[in-house]
Amino acid sequence: LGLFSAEDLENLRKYFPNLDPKNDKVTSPKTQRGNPVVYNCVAHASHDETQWWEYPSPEIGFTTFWPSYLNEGDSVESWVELFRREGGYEGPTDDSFEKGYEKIAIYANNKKATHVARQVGKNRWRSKLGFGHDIEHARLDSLNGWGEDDYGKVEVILKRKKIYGKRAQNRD
Amino acid sequence: MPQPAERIQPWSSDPIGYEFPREGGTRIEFLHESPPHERVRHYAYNSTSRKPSVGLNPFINDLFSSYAQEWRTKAEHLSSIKKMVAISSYQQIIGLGKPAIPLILRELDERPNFWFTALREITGQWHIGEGQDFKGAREAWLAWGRGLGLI
Repeated sequence: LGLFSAEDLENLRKYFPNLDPKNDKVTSPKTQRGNPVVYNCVAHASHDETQWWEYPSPEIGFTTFWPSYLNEGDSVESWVELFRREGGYEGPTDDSFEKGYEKIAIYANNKKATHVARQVGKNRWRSKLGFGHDIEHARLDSLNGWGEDDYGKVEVILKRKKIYGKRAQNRD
Repeated sequence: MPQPAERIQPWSSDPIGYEFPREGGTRIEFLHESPPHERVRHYAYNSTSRKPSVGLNPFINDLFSSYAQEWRTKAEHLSSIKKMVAISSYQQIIGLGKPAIPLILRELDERPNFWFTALREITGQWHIGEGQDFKGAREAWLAWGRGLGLI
């Protein structure tokens, strides 16, 4: 872990041309045989690495997590509402690092929410890329892209007060 | 003196309509003797385990490997499974039809991923995995495949 493999970097740069191998790094392996833990960026931003967060659909073929009070899962508004009600986030705010606060950045492409990154420190954002690696990136625009299946750019940033110790574990 | 290959027959239909030899065949049909449109249907039994041996049909195997590799590359970064399964290479795997089932099951076993949609589309078994998490759905499909001797 740490450095991108040449193969990963070549593939990821098709979608994230701004990815910077000097400052950005891998922080978790991909899904492994015998360890079918699947979670996506929405789950990761919510500190839940046990399930996939997506609006349910028969096409998916298994049960994903999505609160029943949301009747869709593609819009930025639905993601904002999700994080507001499930995580106590408020906003909008900016991408600066504020001690005592935790921030998330929601990306959108063609007005559809595509990705969410979680701030873990000053100039440090963490993202789960689909079913691939978790990565840490210094800048939010490391993941910008404008192709049909790209993340677009950050549309809104939300924040909440950080909770430490056991209360944080309970909340997560 | 090498024995000539025996054709596997007769064919029978299992509950999902996939055609398998009624008796466990011990010889593998020579694929090059088959007309191209039939090759995708042919399957062979392993004489000792009586399990179908994936990899014996290079035509389907190569296509599946190629589509699956392309799909993984294009889908890996996406946050939405609905978007992943809409990718053309995934749809092409569905288009391979029933002969792709053992290959998909093997892939699901070895590299867990979102193959439930393809399996549901091809088999019509929409109830498998219903109400279960990823792990449960994966186990249910693998159990189904084992029950039919597909893996």
